[in-house]
Amino acid sequence: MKHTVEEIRLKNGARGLLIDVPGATVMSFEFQFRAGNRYVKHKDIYETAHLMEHMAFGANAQFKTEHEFESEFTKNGAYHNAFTSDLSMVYMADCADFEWERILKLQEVSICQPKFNEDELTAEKGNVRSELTGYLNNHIRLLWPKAQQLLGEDVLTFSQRIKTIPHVTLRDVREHHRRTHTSDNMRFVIAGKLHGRKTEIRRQLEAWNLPKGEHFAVPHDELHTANPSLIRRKEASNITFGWSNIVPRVLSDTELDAMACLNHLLTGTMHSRIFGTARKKGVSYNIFSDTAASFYESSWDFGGQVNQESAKELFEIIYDQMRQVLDGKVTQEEIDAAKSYALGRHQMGAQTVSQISNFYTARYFGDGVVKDYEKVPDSITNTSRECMIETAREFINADTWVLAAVGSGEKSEINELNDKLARLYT
Amino acid sequence: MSLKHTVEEIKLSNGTQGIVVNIPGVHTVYMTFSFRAGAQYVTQDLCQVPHLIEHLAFTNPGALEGQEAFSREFTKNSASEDASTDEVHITYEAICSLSEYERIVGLMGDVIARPTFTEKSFSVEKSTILEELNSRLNNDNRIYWQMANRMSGGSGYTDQEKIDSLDTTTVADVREFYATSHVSDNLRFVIAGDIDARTVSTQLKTWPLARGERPSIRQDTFRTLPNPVVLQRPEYGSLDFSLSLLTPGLLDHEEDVAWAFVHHLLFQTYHSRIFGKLRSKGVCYDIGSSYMNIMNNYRELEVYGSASSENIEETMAVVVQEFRKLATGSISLEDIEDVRAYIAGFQERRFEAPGDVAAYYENQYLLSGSYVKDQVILDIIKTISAETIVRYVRKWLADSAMRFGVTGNVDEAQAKKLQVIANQLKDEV
Repeated sequence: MKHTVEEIRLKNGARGLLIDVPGATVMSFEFQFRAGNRYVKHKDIYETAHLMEHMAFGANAQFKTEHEFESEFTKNGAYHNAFTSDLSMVYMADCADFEWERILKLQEVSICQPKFNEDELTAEKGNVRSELTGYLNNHIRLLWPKAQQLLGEDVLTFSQRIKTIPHVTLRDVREHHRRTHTSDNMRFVIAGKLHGRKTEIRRQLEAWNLPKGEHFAVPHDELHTANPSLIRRKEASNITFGWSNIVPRVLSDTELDAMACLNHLLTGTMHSRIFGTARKKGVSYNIFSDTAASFYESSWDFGGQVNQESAKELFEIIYDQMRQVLDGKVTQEEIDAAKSYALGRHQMGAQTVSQISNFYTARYFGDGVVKDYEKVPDSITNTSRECMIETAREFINADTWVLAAVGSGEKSEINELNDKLARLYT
Repeated sequence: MSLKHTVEEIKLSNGTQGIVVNIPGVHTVYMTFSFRAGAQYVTQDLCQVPHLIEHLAFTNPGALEGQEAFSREFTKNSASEDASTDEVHITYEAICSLSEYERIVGLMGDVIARPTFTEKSFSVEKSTILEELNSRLNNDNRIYWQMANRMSGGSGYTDQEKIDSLDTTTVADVREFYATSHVSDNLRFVIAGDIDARTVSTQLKTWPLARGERPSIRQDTFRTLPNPVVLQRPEYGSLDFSLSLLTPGLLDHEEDVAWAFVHHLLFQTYHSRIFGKLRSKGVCYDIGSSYMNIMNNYRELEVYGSASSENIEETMAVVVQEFRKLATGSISLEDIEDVRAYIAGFQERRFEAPGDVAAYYENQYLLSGSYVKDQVILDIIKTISAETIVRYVRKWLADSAMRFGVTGNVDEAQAKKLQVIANQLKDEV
């Protein structure tokens, strides 16, 4: 879908993107605050942000109860949701084009004018406990917070988070909202048919009832390598693993493009070097890899599931293929094929308003950069073999990594897998 | 529906049938090819043969030798393929850009109509399937469903039975079943994109499939279970529950719309009668429901969720109470009009992408062999009455077989207590 993007900076300090998609029948809204778990007052009340997010759809200045608000919001099929991550709290809504003004106004009421009360806090404590307890049964969800923690990120695991729920008071919730939900701390992306509507959107957002404040800095953890870790689950039928590598700097867009290309070569297809080889030998059904830049560092993660008896063979494949990459044994032909794939993917993307919005939000809500959709083909085409190999080498040379797993076996088995990977770093 | 489109059904002289959904101006093509060739058409000791065919079809198709060569050729401009096997079907899917549609249909033709099943690939894919099935043994919802399905009369196989069958399955079994199941008369397809029916016909006619039969779908007979199905998981902090009402035959369109209204009223919002009520009390974070055709020629209305052992009885009591209230006619004109406005508005943003349009038709056509345009559904949404909806709710409660079950750290006494609550759903209204 054709679209144009404009960044606007409001007088109240809020910033955002207006994405005009001519002919769109849907309007999509996302509002982000740096108000996630890392911004709570102290770790004893870690679950405050998540509880606040749940309560934001409750009573507010116009509606006495969550039921009344919800009834009004959804009456023509509009949808809303929210999530809390380590750093962000994001409110999302989609609606039919004809009712965009009504929905924007309702979002203002829930985000800016909530009336937190004891009854809803008690209810949401029950709901959040139920939500997090459910995650304890999910091996993949168990794995990654543990890996983050082992590497030195100041986050809590789900079981630790559950223990903080009773400590959170209504005062904590109100304080968190007051401190974090300020106009300066807000970023937004609005996408849909915006021709002739931008002035009105700007006018409405300028008038949002939010105090001034600050756009918070992102906390900086010193990350370090860590010993392997096994979360034992005696009922686990196989090993769910995650291997995370860190470099202590933010990769450039060029380097991220190169790593996306390398990840495609390693795990993206049935003929990829790690996943494809593993599939060809019948030793794994599911493996992924991903590279991401954060604020102070960048990560290169691998994950998957493998039967206990196949694990050594799979990790030998991972070692061999990574060794080859580090030795520069990647052909231009492979890279050209990956580029061709990426170009095709790009051409098939952006079919819906939400997909267009998603293209921009991750980066914009992170470091405020507005990606250029039209330049994506050029950046794919310009990806170089040298950049790919050098960036991969930098991750390994940084020697900041961890292997974590969930399984029913012995810790010694994970140590053995860890030893196989450790050879890459020597 | 947002994307304008037309639909044309094609019946080829070789018995193949399908629909082409023409969506002008879109750059992506979605294609799905399906055979009635699932596990219900083989014996238990060979129950992984369909799954093996699904994997092996991509390993040596046409003139391409090896999965690696195929994958390189297929994905070179970012087309993607996938396949799945269930009790009834083996289904092959592909998505590609319009510019390479003909190349991709040709390659799918190789996968489906010209595979070579070698001993070497067979051995590798057996091992891969073992990896896949073992990973599924971590999925307790799946284990519960397979166990409950079997106990109440369904005839699917468990993942452990599937794993056990792999030892004795041979490549000859695969070749034999492929030959009888992958025949032109048994092929159904849905292709959606900016393409015309004539082009599709011309291409599919060239696929070298033998003639044969299209088998019917087996009709299972479910029975009400007097006792709960319990999957003990002592390490769980919460209890997962499932309450199923099983009715023979497939969903018709009016019933489907009636369910959409009931689902919205009971579960879909924070002001809904079940989910909303439980969330506002903080007793249950996760509760939902579905009503869908299942592979036993049945439709299943399932209420599922997760609650602590302290709150699960209250949760179940609210579920039963609200269904019974609906069955006694507790639905006002205002309720109906509110839900109607929501569902009509939802339709506005439901079919934004060509994949959404394709999925709408696939879901209908590949199971029942028939379809209706979206306008038919919109007309039902506009006119369905409270009386009709209440009539369906009564029918669901009266005509169905029921089963209830729990996964988690539940003791026998509590499981029985929950069953007693669930049984009240079937008390005469």
